[in-house]
Amino acid sequence: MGRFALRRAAFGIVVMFLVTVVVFVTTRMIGDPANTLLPLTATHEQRVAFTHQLGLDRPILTQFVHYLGNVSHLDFGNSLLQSRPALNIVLDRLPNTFELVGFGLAIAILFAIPLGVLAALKPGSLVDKATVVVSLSGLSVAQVWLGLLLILVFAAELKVLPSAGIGGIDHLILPGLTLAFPALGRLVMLTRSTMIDELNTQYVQTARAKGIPEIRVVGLHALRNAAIPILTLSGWELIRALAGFSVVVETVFAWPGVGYLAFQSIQQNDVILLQAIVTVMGFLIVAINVGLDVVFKVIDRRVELA
Amino acid sequence: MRKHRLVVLCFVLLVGLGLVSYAAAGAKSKAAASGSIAIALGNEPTTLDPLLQEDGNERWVTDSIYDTLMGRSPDGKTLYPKLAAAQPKLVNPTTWRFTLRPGIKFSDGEPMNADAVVATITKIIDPKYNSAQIEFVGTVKGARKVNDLTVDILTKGPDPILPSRMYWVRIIPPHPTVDLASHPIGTGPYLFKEWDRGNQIVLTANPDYWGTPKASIQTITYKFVPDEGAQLAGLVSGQYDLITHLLPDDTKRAPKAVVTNGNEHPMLILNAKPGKQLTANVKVRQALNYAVDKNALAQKLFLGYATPDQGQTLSPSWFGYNPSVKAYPYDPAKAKALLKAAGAVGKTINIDTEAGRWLNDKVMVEAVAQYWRAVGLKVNVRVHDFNTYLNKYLFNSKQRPDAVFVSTDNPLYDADRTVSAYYASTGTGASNSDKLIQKWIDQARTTTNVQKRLALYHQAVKRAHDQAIIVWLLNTKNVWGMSKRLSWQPRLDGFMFDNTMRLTG
Repeated sequence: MGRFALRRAAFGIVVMFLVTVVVFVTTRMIGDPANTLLPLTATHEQRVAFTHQLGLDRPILTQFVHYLGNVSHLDFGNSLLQSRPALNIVLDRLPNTFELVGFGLAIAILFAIPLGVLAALKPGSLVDKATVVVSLSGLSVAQVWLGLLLILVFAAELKVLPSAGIGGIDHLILPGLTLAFPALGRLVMLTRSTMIDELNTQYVQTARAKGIPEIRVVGLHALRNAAIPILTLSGWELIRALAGFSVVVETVFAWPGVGYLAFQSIQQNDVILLQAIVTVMGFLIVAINVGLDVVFKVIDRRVELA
Repeated sequence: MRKHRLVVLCFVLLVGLGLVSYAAAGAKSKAAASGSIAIALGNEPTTLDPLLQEDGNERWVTDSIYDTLMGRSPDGKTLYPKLAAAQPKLVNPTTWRFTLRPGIKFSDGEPMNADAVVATITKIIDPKYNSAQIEFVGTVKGARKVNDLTVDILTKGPDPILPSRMYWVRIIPPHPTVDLASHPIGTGPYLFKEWDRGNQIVLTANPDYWGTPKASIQTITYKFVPDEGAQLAGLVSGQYDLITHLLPDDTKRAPKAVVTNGNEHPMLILNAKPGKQLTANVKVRQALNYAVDKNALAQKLFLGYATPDQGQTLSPSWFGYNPSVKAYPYDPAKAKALLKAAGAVGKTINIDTEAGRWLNDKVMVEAVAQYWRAVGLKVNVRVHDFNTYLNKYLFNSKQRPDAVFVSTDNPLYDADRTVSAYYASTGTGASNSDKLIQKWIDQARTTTNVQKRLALYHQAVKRAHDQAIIVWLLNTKNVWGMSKRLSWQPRLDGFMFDNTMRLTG
């Protein structure tokens, strides 16, 4: 068990190094920060001097070695625009993203599993059909559109919830729902199909034949065996939300998390900040993956090292 | 007798009423600021350091905290002394002398004096500080204290528009004990209260403000909302009193929309250098101007929130605007005739542009392409991402594009900045090699004789128009969304001075 975890962790470190390289090269490719930070009417000489002062005119290899040296003791450099340590900025914003993603995923999982199980109990029934329609629309809808629609209905028209920003639980509801909806769709579909399979297996038939109450058969025997795919997908949803969906949802709702920060830093060509954001998120995703692998091994000893 | 009493009673009552209303009026004139409003900005300021970035959101917050040496009337036409006690004097060709108003203090108690001005100028031009605002003060060499309330600003060469530059530069305290990037300290009508990063910035009225008008609203909260739809929704639901990004299409949905003339000028720069390209021929360049219906663009694309540019990339309020130069009228027949005379009919022209940085940029370019096609040209519109667009097209000094789209504004209200970049052949975005235009712009930059400068710009603007080095399109307006209870007249330059806002009802 310990060796399994160690090997996964070593693999994670290799991935992290590759992520660092890719992030460094791509951020250097998105363009010269002088282009976006200085007014367009600035002279050529002013642009050159500006870039030089940032140290971004040195050979890329020199910059990379310097960068690696700094990153090894957690110095990601100062944000070009905010002039304070990039890592601090990201860490300041991270709790907000966790709050939103945690809330959104909690909603998705809490609703998806009962809905999926209910639908699986009587495939083809009205409940099943309704569930499928809801989850398909969750899968299909664009989050930007869904977010704006919720804002229009609940903020502009009904005036019951705030349209944007962070604050109490009321601020969390609309962005949380927007983030939850597609994940909910996928989780419902998966729970439903896995449960249909499980309920048709022989051990379930046997359990039923033994006279075990249906609620125990479904809740204890079948659901437990369906847990691994559901957990896997939940992990993926967590990663998807952190790595991508949060950018859209946070930007629409002006939620001050890392996703919105990433949007801003791309807009402003703040390559140093962007570098820190992607590296930290990359680290989180690798860590979540390694963590999930270990958890699966604990649940099911048959899991092999991929 | 009774009659007499009645008269006395009436008199007493009248006097009493008069006294009460006088007292009330007195109380009103001394009334402290009250109430609060929320303003939605498109993005969170990157810093609150007023000298470091070129960031409009930072400016919208700090302009109410800091003051400048010079002020400008809302219509942009007059420059008046603000922290300065009088108009600055040119003591020699490269030295402007400012006298300062006595008795002004920064909110941390430091006096606003020559030391503050020297500290400000020294900081903003320091290469190590690497200010993104350097372009606005690129001519400045330094500052020298003469006495406590007199300071000289030194320029590299003669700089006639230095006073205008001092409307841009906010004066900071000389010895701040806190980091100005997160805790601004100014002399302005509002005081910094808190910056809850990612959430909001709060300012409160400065009860000891030295100037006028004093703040009327006690608390101003800035929120950061990038999405225009979310800004509008927040305005409609009453969360915000002022939003900075109201699209022309949405003006009817806002509780109140206020429009001012803007300083933004979208245009297409043509490659007028000698060469094989179609646009090397002045007839073709003129035809491209005649072919475009600028009024239709203003009415249909901008729903009237724009006016056609008058054959120049300058607003009427800027120094150097030439009132005798007019827009090329929409005349497709003339355009066709000119193209025919130049042998250009059926030939191909490329337009290079970005998409999304400026309002309606892509649709505007597509519309122009359609107008050009209508007079007999083949037109390719090539849309690039912003960095490619800048490096390979707008800033490319070796191979200029046939036609490149750009939009420009100018908070200095002086032709110099705009024509240096887009008219003079050495400019970063210019596509011509006209020696006369270059010469006149160079001369105007260093001439301190006002009339002579104006004449030089008029000449340059006229020649650029006749040579049709650009296809001039529009001067777009600024549209602000407001709640019904907020009363505010926005300025031409789009700057936001919160002490000019009032709450009604």
